[in-house]
Amino acid sequence: MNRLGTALAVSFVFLAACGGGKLPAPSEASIRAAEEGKSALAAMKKGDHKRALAYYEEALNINRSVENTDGMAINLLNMAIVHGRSGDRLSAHRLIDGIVNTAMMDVSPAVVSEAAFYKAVLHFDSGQMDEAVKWADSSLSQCARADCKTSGRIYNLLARISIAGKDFAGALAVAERGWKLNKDSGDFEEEANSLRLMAEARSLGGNVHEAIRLYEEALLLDKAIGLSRKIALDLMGAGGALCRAGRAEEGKRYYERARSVGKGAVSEEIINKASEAIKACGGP
Amino acid sequence: MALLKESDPRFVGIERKVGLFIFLAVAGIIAVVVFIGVQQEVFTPKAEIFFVAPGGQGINEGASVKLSGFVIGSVKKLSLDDVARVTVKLSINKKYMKWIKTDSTAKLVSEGLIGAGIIEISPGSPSAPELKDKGFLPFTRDKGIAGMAEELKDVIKPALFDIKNIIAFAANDPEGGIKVTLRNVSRLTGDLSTTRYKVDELIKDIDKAVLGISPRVANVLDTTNSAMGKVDVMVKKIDNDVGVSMKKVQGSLDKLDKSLENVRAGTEKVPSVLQNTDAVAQGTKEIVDSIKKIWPISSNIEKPKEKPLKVDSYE
Repeated sequence: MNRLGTALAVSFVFLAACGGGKLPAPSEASIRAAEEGKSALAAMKKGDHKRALAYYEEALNINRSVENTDGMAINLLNMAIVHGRSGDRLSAHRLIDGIVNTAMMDVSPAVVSEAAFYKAVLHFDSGQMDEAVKWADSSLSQCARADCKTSGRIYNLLARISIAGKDFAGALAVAERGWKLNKDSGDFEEEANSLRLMAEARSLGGNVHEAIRLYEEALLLDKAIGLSRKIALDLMGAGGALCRAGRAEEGKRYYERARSVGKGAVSEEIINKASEAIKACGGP
Repeated sequence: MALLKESDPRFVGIERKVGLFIFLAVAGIIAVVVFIGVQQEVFTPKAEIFFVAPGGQGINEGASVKLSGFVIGSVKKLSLDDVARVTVKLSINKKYMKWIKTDSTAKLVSEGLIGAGIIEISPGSPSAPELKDKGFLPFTRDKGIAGMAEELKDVIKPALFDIKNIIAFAANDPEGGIKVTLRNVSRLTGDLSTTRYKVDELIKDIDKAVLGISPRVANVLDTTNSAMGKVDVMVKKIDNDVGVSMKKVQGSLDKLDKSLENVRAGTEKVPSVLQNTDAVAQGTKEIVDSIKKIWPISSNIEKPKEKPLKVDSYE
Protein backbone atom coordinates (compact mmCIF):
# COMPACT_ATOMS: atom_id res chain seq x y z
CA MET A 1 0.00 0.00 0.00
CA ASN A 2 2.83 2.42 0.82
CA ARG A 3 4.42 1.85 -2.59
CA LEU A 4 1.03 2.15 -4.28
CA GLY A 5 0.27 5.36 -2.46
CA THR A 6 3.67 6.80 -3.32
CA ALA A 7 3.22 5.83 -6.98
CA LEU A 8 -0.18 7.54 -7.10
CA ALA A 9 1.14 10.69 -5.45
CA VAL A 10 4.09 10.89 -7.83
CA SER A 11 1.85 10.36 -10.86
CA PHE A 12 -0.48 13.18 -9.77
CA VAL A 13 2.43 15.54 -9.34
CA PHE A 14 3.77 14.51 -12.73
CA LEU A 15 0.39 15.16 -14.37
CA ALA A 16 0.18 18.59 -12.73
CA ALA A 17 3.65 19.43 -13.92
CA CYS A 18 2.88 18.27 -17.48
CA GLY A 19 0.70 21.31 -18.14
CA GLY A 20 3.17 23.66 -16.52
CA GLY A 21 5.29 24.49 -19.54
CA LYS A 22 5.56 28.24 -20.06
CA LEU A 23 5.35 29.50 -23.62
CA PRO A 24 7.95 32.06 -24.65
CA ALA A 25 6.55 35.59 -24.18
CA PRO A 26 6.11 37.73 -27.32
CA SER A 27 8.97 40.14 -27.94
CA GLU A 28 8.73 43.82 -27.10
CA ALA A 29 8.97 44.64 -30.82
CA SER A 30 6.08 42.39 -31.80
CA ILE A 31 3.92 43.84 -29.00
CA ARG A 32 4.68 47.40 -30.16
CA ALA A 33 3.98 46.49 -33.76
CA ALA A 34 0.68 44.86 -32.77
CA GLU A 35 -0.26 48.03 -30.80
CA GLU A 36 0.47 50.19 -33.86
CA GLY A 37 -1.75 47.86 -35.88
CA LYS A 38 -4.56 48.28 -33.33
CA SER A 39 -4.24 52.08 -33.55
CA ALA A 40 -4.33 51.86 -37.34
CA LEU A 41 -7.49 49.78 -37.21
CA ALA A 42 -9.11 52.35 -34.91
CA ALA A 43 -8.15 55.13 -37.35
CA MET A 44 -9.62 53.12 -40.24
CA LYS A 45 -12.89 52.76 -38.34
CA LYS A 46 -13.07 56.57 -38.06
CA GLY A 47 -12.29 56.91 -41.79
CA ASP A 48 -8.90 58.57 -41.18
CA HIS A 49 -6.91 56.74 -43.89
CA LYS A 50 -3.92 59.04 -43.67
CA ARG A 51 -3.40 58.35 -39.97
CA ALA A 52 -3.95 54.60 -40.50
CA LEU A 53 -1.21 54.59 -43.16
CA ALA A 54 1.14 56.34 -40.73
CA TYR A 55 0.51 53.69 -38.05
CA TYR A 56 0.98 50.82 -40.51
CA GLU A 57 4.22 52.37 -41.74
CA GLU A 58 5.47 52.56 -38.16
CA ALA A 59 4.54 48.91 -37.61
CA LEU A 60 6.32 48.02 -40.88
CA ASN A 61 9.50 49.74 -39.68
CA ILE A 62 9.36 47.94 -36.35
CA ASN A 63 9.05 44.58 -38.15
CA ARG A 64 11.83 45.57 -40.53
CA SER A 65 14.12 46.32 -37.58
CA VAL A 66 13.78 42.71 -36.35
CA GLU A 67 13.54 41.16 -39.86
CA ASN A 68 10.07 39.75 -39.22
CA THR A 69 9.09 39.02 -42.85
CA ASP A 70 5.54 37.95 -42.05
CA GLY A 71 4.97 41.12 -40.05
CA MET A 72 6.40 43.23 -42.89
CA ALA A 73 4.16 41.46 -45.43
CA ILE A 74 1.05 41.93 -43.27
CA ASN A 75 1.68 45.66 -42.92
CA LEU A 76 2.44 46.09 -46.63
CA LEU A 77 -0.83 44.32 -47.39
CA ASN A 78 -2.74 46.50 -44.94
CA MET A 79 -1.25 49.65 -46.46
CA ALA A 80 -2.26 48.36 -49.90
CA ILE A 81 -5.82 47.85 -48.66
CA VAL A 82 -5.93 51.38 -47.22
CA HIS A 83 -4.73 52.80 -50.57
CA GLY A 84 -7.28 50.66 -52.40
CA ARG A 85 -10.11 51.92 -50.21
CA SER A 86 -8.93 55.50 -50.77
CA GLY A 87 -9.16 54.92 -54.55
CA ASP A 88 -5.40 54.76 -55.22
CA ARG A 89 -5.26 51.38 -56.99
CA LEU A 90 -1.80 51.97 -58.46
CA SER A 91 -0.20 52.28 -55.03
CA ALA A 92 -2.17 49.26 -53.84
CA HIS A 93 -0.89 47.11 -56.73
CA ARG A 94 2.66 48.32 -56.18
CA LEU A 95 2.64 47.38 -52.49
CA ILE A 96 1.12 43.95 -53.09
CA ASP A 97 3.60 43.17 -55.87
CA GLY A 98 6.27 43.52 -53.20
CA ILE A 99 4.73 40.51 -51.42
CA VAL A 100 3.52 38.21 -54.20
CA ASN A 101 6.40 38.64 -56.63
CA THR A 102 8.76 36.94 -54.14
CA ALA A 103 10.63 40.12 -53.47
CA MET A 104 10.34 39.04 -49.84
CA MET A 105 11.52 35.62 -48.66
CA ASP A 106 9.90 33.34 -46.12
CA VAL A 107 6.49 34.96 -46.14
CA SER A 108 3.95 32.42 -44.91
CA PRO A 109 1.48 31.01 -47.48
CA ALA A 110 -1.47 32.36 -45.47
CA VAL A 111 -0.26 35.94 -45.91
CA VAL A 112 0.60 35.40 -49.59
CA SER A 113 -2.91 34.00 -50.06
CA GLU A 114 -4.44 37.15 -48.52
CA ALA A 115 -2.28 39.35 -50.76
CA ALA A 116 -3.19 37.38 -53.88
CA PHE A 117 -6.88 37.57 -52.94
CA TYR A 118 -6.75 41.35 -52.64
CA LYS A 119 -4.92 41.60 -55.97
CA ALA A 120 -7.77 39.56 -57.50
CA VAL A 121 -10.31 41.96 -55.93
CA LEU A 122 -8.46 44.98 -57.37
CA HIS A 123 -8.45 43.42 -60.86
CA PHE A 124 -12.15 42.51 -60.57
CA ASP A 125 -13.05 46.09 -59.62
CA SER A 126 -11.11 47.33 -62.65
CA GLY A 127 -12.97 44.89 -64.94
CA GLN A 128 -9.86 42.79 -65.69
CA MET A 129 -11.53 39.40 -65.26
CA ASP A 130 -8.75 37.18 -66.63
CA GLU A 131 -6.23 38.67 -64.22
CA ALA A 132 -8.78 38.43 -61.42
CA VAL A 133 -9.29 34.69 -62.05
CA LYS A 134 -5.54 34.10 -62.22
CA TRP A 135 -4.92 35.78 -58.85
CA ALA A 136 -7.96 34.16 -57.23
CA ASP A 137 -6.63 30.72 -58.24
CA SER A 138 -3.21 31.65 -56.88
CA SER A 139 -4.84 32.69 -53.61
CA LEU A 140 -6.71 29.35 -53.42
CA SER A 141 -3.56 27.30 -53.91
CA GLN A 142 -1.66 29.30 -51.24
CA CYS A 143 -4.65 28.94 -48.92
CA ALA A 144 -4.61 25.16 -49.42
CA ARG A 145 -0.88 25.12 -48.57
CA ALA A 146 -1.56 27.07 -45.39
CA ASP A 147 -4.66 25.01 -44.53
CA CYS A 148 -6.48 28.32 -44.00
CA LYS A 149 -10.21 28.68 -43.34
CA THR A 150 -10.93 31.58 -45.73
CA SER A 151 -11.20 29.71 -49.02
CA GLY A 152 -14.99 30.22 -49.00
CA ARG A 153 -14.41 33.93 -49.58
CA ILE A 154 -12.25 33.20 -52.63
CA TYR A 155 -15.01 31.02 -54.11
CA ASN A 156 -17.41 33.91 -53.59
CA LEU A 157 -15.14 36.16 -55.64
CA LEU A 158 -14.89 33.51 -58.36
CA ALA A 159 -18.70 33.30 -58.38
CA ARG A 160 -18.89 37.10 -58.90
CA ILE A 161 -16.44 36.77 -61.79
CA SER A 162 -18.57 34.01 -63.35
CA ILE A 163 -21.72 36.13 -63.04
CA ALA A 164 -19.90 39.03 -64.73
CA GLY A 165 -18.95 36.60 -67.50
CA LYS A 166 -22.66 35.49 -67.80
CA ASP A 167 -21.84 31.90 -66.74
CA PHE A 168 -24.77 31.62 -64.29
CA ALA A 169 -24.72 27.84 -63.86
CA GLY A 170 -21.00 27.91 -63.14
CA ALA A 171 -21.47 30.83 -60.74
CA LEU A 172 -24.16 28.89 -58.85
CA ALA A 173 -21.92 25.84 -58.42
CA VAL A 174 -18.98 27.93 -57.21
CA ALA A 175 -21.17 30.02 -54.85
CA GLU A 176 -22.66 26.83 -53.34
CA ARG A 177 -19.17 25.53 -52.70
CA GLY A 178 -18.23 28.82 -51.09
CA TRP A 179 -21.40 28.77 -48.97
CA LYS A 180 -20.58 25.34 -47.49
CA LEU A 181 -17.02 26.41 -46.66
CA ASN A 182 -18.13 29.72 -45.10
CA LYS A 183 -20.82 28.00 -43.05
CA ASP A 184 -18.34 25.46 -41.71
CA SER A 185 -15.77 28.12 -40.83
CA GLY A 186 -18.36 30.28 -39.05
CA ASP A 187 -17.79 33.34 -41.28
CA PHE A 188 -21.32 34.77 -41.21
CA GLU A 189 -20.61 37.76 -43.46
CA GLU A 190 -19.22 35.61 -46.25
CA GLU A 191 -22.00 33.06 -45.73
CA ALA A 192 -24.49 35.88 -46.42
CA ASN A 193 -22.42 36.91 -49.46
CA SER A 194 -22.59 33.32 -50.76
CA LEU A 195 -26.38 33.25 -50.32
CA ARG A 196 -26.68 36.54 -52.19
CA LEU A 197 -24.53 35.22 -55.06
CA MET A 198 -26.57 32.02 -55.25
CA ALA A 199 -29.71 34.16 -55.33
CA GLU A 200 -28.28 36.33 -58.13
CA ALA A 201 -27.29 33.27 -60.16
CA ARG A 202 -30.76 31.76 -59.69
CA SER A 203 -32.45 35.00 -60.61
CA LEU A 204 -30.42 35.49 -63.78
CA GLY A 205 -31.01 31.83 -64.61
CA GLY A 206 -34.77 32.41 -64.46
CA ASN A 207 -35.69 30.87 -61.09
CA VAL A 208 -37.22 33.89 -59.34
CA HIS A 209 -38.97 32.02 -56.51
CA GLU A 210 -35.76 30.34 -55.34
CA ALA A 211 -33.84 33.61 -55.81
CA ILE A 212 -36.22 35.51 -53.49
CA ARG A 213 -35.97 32.77 -50.88
CA LEU A 214 -32.16 32.98 -50.94
CA TYR A 215 -32.18 36.80 -50.83
CA GLU A 216 -34.46 36.66 -47.77
CA GLU A 217 -32.09 34.20 -46.09
CA ALA A 218 -29.11 36.45 -46.79
CA LEU A 219 -31.14 39.42 -45.53
CA LEU A 220 -31.83 37.67 -42.19
CA LEU A 221 -28.12 37.07 -41.66
CA ASP A 222 -27.09 40.59 -42.68
CA LYS A 223 -29.75 42.11 -40.38
CA ALA A 224 -28.50 40.04 -37.45
CA ILE A 225 -24.93 41.23 -38.14
CA GLY A 226 -26.15 44.79 -38.72
CA LEU A 227 -24.50 45.75 -42.04
CA SER A 228 -26.54 48.44 -43.82
CA ARG A 229 -24.70 48.18 -47.15
CA LYS A 230 -25.25 44.43 -47.37
CA ILE A 231 -28.90 44.74 -46.33
CA ALA A 232 -29.38 47.23 -49.15
CA LEU A 233 -27.64 44.86 -51.60
CA ASP A 234 -30.00 42.02 -50.58
CA LEU A 235 -33.07 44.24 -51.01
CA MET A 236 -31.85 45.63 -54.33
CA GLY A 237 -31.12 42.10 -55.55
CA ALA A 238 -34.61 40.90 -54.64
CA GLY A 239 -36.12 43.98 -56.28
CA GLY A 240 -34.11 43.39 -59.44
CA ALA A 241 -35.16 39.73 -59.61
CA LEU A 242 -38.84 40.65 -59.34
CA CYS A 243 -38.62 43.53 -61.82
CA ARG A 244 -36.93 41.30 -64.41
CA ALA A 245 -39.70 38.71 -63.91
CA GLY A 246 -42.34 41.35 -64.70
CA ARG A 247 -43.52 41.76 -61.06
CA ALA A 248 -42.82 45.46 -60.99
CA GLU A 249 -44.94 46.44 -57.95
CA GLU A 250 -43.30 43.86 -55.71
CA GLY A 251 -39.89 44.78 -57.07
CA LYS A 252 -40.43 48.49 -56.40
CA ARG A 253 -41.38 47.73 -52.78
CA TYR A 254 -38.00 46.09 -52.26
CA TYR A 255 -36.26 49.06 -53.89
CA GLU A 256 -38.19 51.43 -51.58
CA ARG A 257 -36.98 49.44 -48.60
CA ALA A 258 -33.41 49.67 -49.89
CA ARG A 259 -33.79 53.45 -50.30
CA SER A 260 -35.08 53.69 -46.73
CA VAL A 261 -32.05 51.75 -45.48
CA GLY A 262 -29.83 54.15 -47.45
CA LYS A 263 -31.49 57.16 -45.78
CA GLY A 264 -31.02 55.63 -42.35
CA ALA A 265 -27.37 54.90 -43.07
CA VAL A 266 -26.91 58.36 -44.71
CA SER A 267 -25.50 56.73 -47.84
CA GLU A 268 -26.02 58.79 -51.00
CA GLU A 269 -24.74 55.88 -53.08
CA ILE A 270 -27.48 53.50 -51.89
CA ILE A 271 -30.19 56.16 -52.15
CA ASN A 272 -29.22 57.07 -55.71
CA LYS A 273 -28.95 53.47 -56.88
CA ALA A 274 -32.33 52.60 -55.34
CA SER A 275 -33.96 55.68 -56.91
CA GLU A 276 -32.55 54.82 -60.35
CA ALA A 277 -33.71 51.24 -59.97
CA ILE A 278 -37.25 52.36 -59.09
CA LYS A 279 -37.35 54.56 -62.20
CA ALA A 280 -36.01 51.74 -64.38
CA CYS A 281 -38.66 49.41 -62.94
CA GLY A 282 -41.36 51.85 -64.01
CA GLY A 283 -41.73 54.00 -60.91
CA PRO A 284 -41.79 57.81 -60.35
CA MET B 1 14.32 -17.19 4.59
CA ALA B 2 10.71 -16.00 4.47
CA LEU B 3 9.96 -13.35 7.10
CA LEU B 4 6.20 -13.83 6.95
CA LYS B 5 4.35 -17.12 6.91
CA GLU B 6 2.05 -17.68 3.96
CA SER B 7 -0.67 -18.71 6.32
CA ASP B 8 -0.55 -15.36 8.19
CA PRO B 9 -4.25 -14.34 8.26
CA ARG B 10 -3.45 -10.66 7.59
CA PHE B 11 -1.97 -11.43 4.18
CA VAL B 12 -4.23 -14.21 2.99
CA GLY B 13 -5.73 -13.07 -0.34
CA ILE B 14 -4.01 -9.66 -0.03
CA GLU B 15 -3.88 -9.20 -3.83
CA ARG B 16 -7.61 -9.78 -4.12
CA LYS B 17 -8.35 -7.34 -1.30
CA VAL B 18 -6.17 -4.59 -2.79
CA GLY B 19 -7.59 -5.18 -6.25
CA LEU B 20 -11.13 -4.99 -4.91
CA PHE B 21 -10.35 -1.77 -3.03
CA ILE B 22 -8.86 -0.09 -6.10
CA PHE B 23 -11.72 -1.27 -8.27
CA LEU B 24 -14.29 0.14 -5.84
CA ALA B 25 -12.38 3.42 -5.58
CA VAL B 26 -12.17 3.86 -9.36
CA ALA B 27 -15.80 2.89 -9.80
CA GLY B 28 -16.75 5.42 -7.12
CA ILE B 29 -14.75 8.17 -8.82
CA ILE B 30 -16.33 7.40 -12.20
CA ALA B 31 -19.78 7.38 -10.64
CA VAL B 32 -19.17 10.77 -9.00
CA VAL B 33 -17.86 12.23 -12.28
CA VAL B 34 -20.88 10.93 -14.18
CA PHE B 35 -23.23 12.19 -11.47
CA ILE B 36 -21.64 15.64 -11.57
CA GLY B 37 -21.76 15.58 -15.33
CA VAL B 38 -25.46 14.80 -15.28
CA GLN B 39 -26.07 17.55 -12.68
CA GLN B 40 -24.11 20.05 -14.78
CA GLU B 41 -25.92 18.91 -17.94
CA VAL B 42 -22.68 17.90 -19.65
CA PHE B 43 -24.41 14.98 -21.40
CA THR B 44 -27.48 16.99 -22.34
CA PRO B 45 -27.66 17.61 -26.11
CA LYS B 46 -27.12 21.28 -26.85
CA ALA B 47 -27.55 23.63 -29.78
CA GLU B 48 -25.50 26.74 -30.54
CA ILE B 49 -26.91 30.10 -31.58
CA PHE B 50 -25.21 33.48 -32.03
CA PHE B 51 -25.69 37.20 -31.84
CA VAL B 52 -23.44 40.15 -32.66
CA ALA B 53 -23.06 43.08 -30.25
CA PRO B 54 -21.28 46.43 -30.70
CA GLY B 55 -19.38 45.84 -27.43
CA GLY B 56 -18.88 43.08 -24.84
CA GLN B 57 -19.49 45.17 -21.68
CA GLY B 58 -21.68 43.28 -19.23
CA ILE B 59 -21.59 40.02 -21.25
CA ASN B 60 -19.59 37.29 -19.50
CA GLU B 61 -18.80 33.71 -20.44
CA GLY B 62 -20.92 31.37 -18.36
CA ALA B 63 -23.69 33.93 -17.83
CA SER B 64 -27.19 32.48 -17.83
CA VAL B 65 -29.48 32.60 -20.84
CA LYS B 66 -33.14 32.83 -19.89
CA LEU B 67 -36.43 32.59 -21.72
CA SER B 68 -39.57 33.73 -19.87
CA GLY B 69 -37.51 33.72 -16.65
CA PHE B 70 -36.41 30.09 -17.11
CA VAL B 71 -32.71 29.17 -17.52
CA ILE B 72 -32.31 27.49 -20.93
CA GLY B 73 -28.58 27.75 -21.52
CA SER B 74 -25.46 29.81 -21.03
CA VAL B 75 -23.03 32.13 -22.79
CA LYS B 76 -20.38 29.84 -24.22
CA LYS B 77 -17.87 32.12 -25.89
CA LEU B 78 -17.14 35.73 -26.84
CA SER B 79 -14.90 36.59 -29.77
CA LEU B 80 -13.83 39.83 -31.40
CA ASP B 81 -13.96 40.24 -35.18
CA ASP B 82 -11.84 42.48 -37.40
CA VAL B 83 -14.12 45.48 -37.10
CA ALA B 84 -14.18 45.25 -33.28
CA ARG B 85 -17.69 43.80 -33.03
CA VAL B 86 -18.25 40.99 -30.55
CA THR B 87 -19.73 37.67 -31.71
CA VAL B 88 -21.36 35.85 -28.79
CA LYS B 89 -21.98 32.09 -28.90
CA LEU B 90 -24.83 30.75 -26.75
CA SER B 91 -25.19 27.10 -25.75
CA ILE B 92 -28.91 26.19 -25.47
CA ASN B 93 -30.50 22.88 -24.35
CA LYS B 94 -31.98 21.37 -27.47
CA LYS B 95 -35.33 20.73 -25.80
CA TYR B 96 -35.86 24.50 -25.44
CA MET B 97 -34.99 25.39 -29.06
CA LYS B 98 -38.63 24.98 -30.11
CA TRP B 99 -39.50 28.24 -28.30
CA ILE B 100 -36.79 30.24 -30.01
CA LYS B 101 -38.10 31.61 -33.33
CA THR B 102 -36.51 33.49 -36.22
CA ASP B 103 -38.11 36.73 -34.90
CA SER B 104 -36.91 36.23 -31.31
CA THR B 105 -34.44 38.78 -29.94
CA ALA B 106 -31.56 38.53 -27.47
CA LYS B 107 -31.34 41.26 -24.84
CA LEU B 108 -28.74 41.97 -22.17
CA VAL B 109 -30.53 42.72 -18.87
CA SER B 110 -29.48 43.00 -15.21
CA GLU B 111 -30.97 40.64 -12.64
CA GLY B 112 -32.57 43.03 -10.19
CA LEU B 113 -31.55 46.70 -10.09
CA ILE B 114 -27.77 46.16 -9.89
CA GLY B 115 -27.46 42.41 -10.43
CA ALA B 116 -25.23 40.41 -12.81
CA GLY B 117 -25.91 40.61 -16.54
CA ILE B 118 -27.90 37.81 -18.15
CA ILE B 119 -29.15 37.26 -21.68
CA GLU B 120 -32.94 37.31 -22.00
CA ILE B 121 -34.37 35.76 -25.19
CA SER B 122 -37.88 36.79 -26.22
CA PRO B 123 -40.11 33.90 -27.37
CA GLY B 124 -41.03 35.45 -30.76
CA SER B 125 -44.38 35.02 -32.55
CA PRO B 126 -45.99 31.52 -32.52
CA SER B 127 -46.40 31.47 -36.32
CA ALA B 128 -42.72 32.18 -37.02
CA PRO B 129 -40.44 29.21 -37.86
CA GLU B 130 -38.03 27.84 -35.23
CA LEU B 131 -34.48 29.13 -35.26
CA LYS B 132 -32.08 26.45 -36.48
CA ASP B 133 -28.81 25.33 -34.91
CA LYS B 134 -26.02 27.91 -35.56
CA GLY B 135 -28.72 30.51 -36.25
CA PHE B 136 -28.48 34.24 -35.53
CA LEU B 137 -30.53 36.54 -33.32
CA PRO B 138 -30.65 40.34 -33.30
CA PHE B 139 -29.34 41.94 -30.09
CA THR B 140 -30.46 44.84 -27.88
CA ARG B 141 -29.16 46.14 -24.56
CA ASP B 142 -31.10 47.26 -21.44
CA LYS B 143 -30.42 50.81 -20.27
CA GLY B 144 -29.40 49.87 -16.71
CA ILE B 145 -28.91 52.23 -13.76
CA ALA B 146 -26.14 54.20 -15.44
CA GLY B 147 -28.36 54.91 -18.46
CA MET B 148 -31.31 55.97 -16.29
CA ALA B 149 -29.07 58.19 -14.15
CA GLU B 150 -27.67 59.79 -17.30
CA GLU B 151 -31.20 60.54 -18.56
CA LEU B 152 -32.24 62.02 -15.19
CA LYS B 153 -29.10 64.13 -15.11
CA ASP B 154 -29.90 65.57 -18.54
CA VAL B 155 -33.38 66.58 -17.31
CA ILE B 156 -32.48 67.85 -13.83
CA LYS B 157 -29.38 69.85 -14.70
CA PRO B 158 -31.06 72.34 -17.07
CA ALA B 159 -34.00 72.71 -14.64
CA LEU B 160 -31.64 73.51 -11.74
CA PHE B 161 -29.77 75.97 -13.92
CA ASP B 162 -33.01 77.74 -14.84
CA ILE B 163 -34.12 77.91 -11.19
CA LYS B 164 -30.76 79.38 -10.21
CA ASN B 165 -31.05 82.02 -12.91
CA ILE B 166 -34.58 82.92 -11.82
CA ILE B 167 -33.44 83.25 -8.21
CA ALA B 168 -30.47 85.37 -9.20
CA PHE B 169 -32.68 87.56 -11.30
CA ALA B 170 -35.37 87.92 -8.63
CA ALA B 171 -33.09 88.31 -5.62
CA ASN B 172 -30.02 90.08 -6.83
CA ASP B 173 -30.93 92.28 -9.75
CA PRO B 174 -31.93 95.63 -8.32
CA GLU B 175 -33.63 96.42 -11.60
CA GLY B 176 -35.47 93.07 -11.58
CA GLY B 177 -39.22 93.08 -12.33
CA ILE B 178 -40.40 92.06 -8.87
CA LYS B 179 -38.26 94.54 -6.99
CA VAL B 180 -39.19 97.36 -9.33
CA THR B 181 -42.89 96.57 -8.91
CA LEU B 182 -42.61 96.45 -5.12
CA ARG B 183 -40.61 99.64 -5.12
CA ASN B 184 -43.28 101.33 -7.21
CA VAL B 185 -46.05 100.12 -4.95
CA SER B 186 -44.13 101.41 -1.96
CA ARG B 187 -43.65 104.79 -3.64
CA LEU B 188 -47.32 104.90 -4.58
CA THR B 189 -48.45 104.26 -1.06
CA GLY B 190 -46.06 106.90 0.20
CA ASP B 191 -47.39 109.37 -2.35
CA LEU B 192 -50.96 108.44 -1.49
CA SER B 193 -50.31 109.31 2.16
CA THR B 194 -48.91 112.69 1.19
CA THR B 195 -51.81 113.28 -1.13
CA ARG B 196 -54.24 112.29 1.52
CA TYR B 197 -52.69 114.79 3.94
CA LYS B 198 -52.91 117.57 1.42
CA VAL B 199 -56.47 116.71 0.58
CA ASP B 200 -57.16 116.71 4.28
CA GLU B 201 -55.84 120.24 4.64
CA LEU B 202 -57.75 121.37 1.62
CA ILE B 203 -60.91 119.95 3.02
CA LYS B 204 -60.40 121.80 6.23
CA ASP B 205 -59.95 125.03 4.31
CA ILE B 206 -62.97 124.33 2.19
CA ASP B 207 -64.80 123.35 5.28
CA LYS B 208 -64.13 126.64 6.82
CA ALA B 209 -64.98 128.43 3.64
CA VAL B 210 -68.23 126.73 2.90
CA LEU B 211 -69.36 125.70 6.29
CA GLY B 212 -71.65 128.51 6.38
CA ILE B 213 -72.91 127.94 2.83
CA SER B 214 -74.91 124.78 3.31
CA PRO B 215 -75.16 122.03 5.91
CA ARG B 216 -75.60 119.51 3.04
CA VAL B 217 -72.25 120.46 1.58
CA ALA B 218 -70.77 120.04 5.02
CA ASN B 219 -72.27 116.57 5.15
CA VAL B 220 -70.78 115.69 1.81
CA LEU B 221 -67.46 116.88 2.99
CA ASP B 222 -67.70 114.80 6.17
CA THR B 223 -68.51 111.71 4.14
CA THR B 224 -65.57 112.36 1.85
CA ASN B 225 -63.37 112.78 4.87
CA SER B 226 -64.36 109.44 6.34
CA ALA B 227 -63.94 107.74 2.95
CA MET B 228 -60.41 109.12 2.69
CA GLY B 229 -59.79 107.80 6.20
CA LYS B 230 -60.81 104.33 5.06
CA VAL B 231 -58.53 104.60 2.00
CA ASP B 232 -55.72 105.52 4.32
CA VAL B 233 -56.33 102.40 6.41
CA MET B 234 -56.44 100.24 3.29
CA VAL B 235 -53.20 101.68 1.94
CA LYS B 236 -51.46 101.06 5.25
CA LYS B 237 -52.72 97.47 5.25
CA ILE B 238 -51.50 96.93 1.67
CA ASP B 239 -48.13 98.40 2.59
CA ASN B 240 -47.88 96.09 5.57
CA ASP B 241 -48.92 93.02 3.60
CA VAL B 242 -46.41 93.73 0.86
CA GLY B 243 -43.69 94.05 3.47
CA VAL B 244 -44.61 90.70 5.02
CA SER B 245 -44.74 89.03 1.59
CA MET B 246 -41.33 90.46 0.68
CA LYS B 247 -39.88 89.00 3.86
CA LYS B 248 -41.37 85.56 3.09
CA VAL B 249 -40.08 85.64 -0.51
CA GLN B 250 -36.64 86.62 0.70
CA GLY B 251 -36.70 83.76 3.22
CA SER B 252 -37.63 81.27 0.47
CA LEU B 253 -34.92 82.62 -1.79
CA ASP B 254 -32.37 82.21 1.00
CA LYS B 255 -33.41 78.58 1.54
CA LEU B 256 -33.16 77.82 -2.18
CA ASP B 257 -29.75 79.44 -2.28
CA LYS B 258 -28.59 77.14 0.56
CA SER B 259 -29.89 74.07 -1.32
CA LEU B 260 -27.96 75.06 -4.42
CA GLU B 261 -24.87 75.56 -2.29
CA ASN B 262 -25.27 71.98 -0.97
CA VAL B 263 -25.59 70.64 -4.51
CA ARG B 264 -22.46 72.56 -5.50
CA ALA B 265 -20.56 71.14 -2.49
CA GLY B 266 -21.72 67.62 -3.39
CA THR B 267 -20.51 67.87 -6.97
CA GLU B 268 -17.13 69.25 -5.80
CA LYS B 269 -16.50 65.90 -4.07
CA VAL B 270 -17.03 63.99 -7.35
CA PRO B 271 -13.55 64.70 -8.85
CA SER B 272 -11.79 63.34 -5.72
CA VAL B 273 -14.03 60.24 -5.78
CA LEU B 274 -13.15 59.78 -9.44
CA GLN B 275 -9.44 60.16 -8.63
CA ASN B 276 -9.69 57.47 -5.95
CA THR B 277 -11.57 55.22 -8.35
CA ASP B 278 -8.85 55.80 -10.94
CA ALA B 279 -6.13 54.78 -8.42
CA VAL B 280 -8.07 51.64 -7.49
CA ALA B 281 -8.53 50.79 -11.17
CA GLN B 282 -4.79 51.24 -11.79
CA GLY B 283 -3.96 48.96 -8.86
CA THR B 284 -6.43 46.36 -10.11
CA LYS B 285 -4.86 46.53 -13.57
CA GLU B 286 -1.42 45.85 -12.09
CA ILE B 287 -2.73 42.84 -10.18
CA VAL B 288 -4.55 41.51 -13.26
CA ASP B 289 -1.41 41.99 -15.41
CA SER B 290 0.59 39.94 -12.87
CA ILE B 291 -2.05 37.20 -12.71
CA LYS B 292 -2.10 37.04 -16.52
CA LYS B 293 1.52 35.91 -16.48
CA ILE B 294 0.84 32.92 -14.17
CA TRP B 295 0.22 29.49 -15.67
CA PRO B 296 -2.42 28.13 -16.50
CA ILE B 297 -4.04 31.54 -16.94
CA SER B 298 -1.29 32.79 -19.27
CA SER B 299 -1.85 29.92 -21.69
CA ASN B 300 -5.50 30.95 -22.11
CA ILE B 301 -4.82 34.61 -22.84
CA GLU B 302 -4.41 35.51 -26.50
CA LYS B 303 -1.08 37.16 -27.23
CA PRO B 304 -1.22 40.47 -29.19
CA LYS B 305 -0.87 39.55 -32.85
CA GLU B 306 -0.67 41.39 -36.14
CA LYS B 307 -3.37 40.43 -38.61
CA PRO B 308 -4.22 41.47 -42.17
CA LEU B 309 -7.32 43.67 -42.58
CA LYS B 310 -10.38 41.65 -43.50
CA VAL B 311 -11.22 42.02 -47.19
CA ASP B 312 -14.76 41.08 -48.08
CA SER B 313 -15.56 39.29 -51.32
CA TYR B 314 -17.95 42.21 -51.98
CA GLU B 315 -15.20 44.83 -51.36
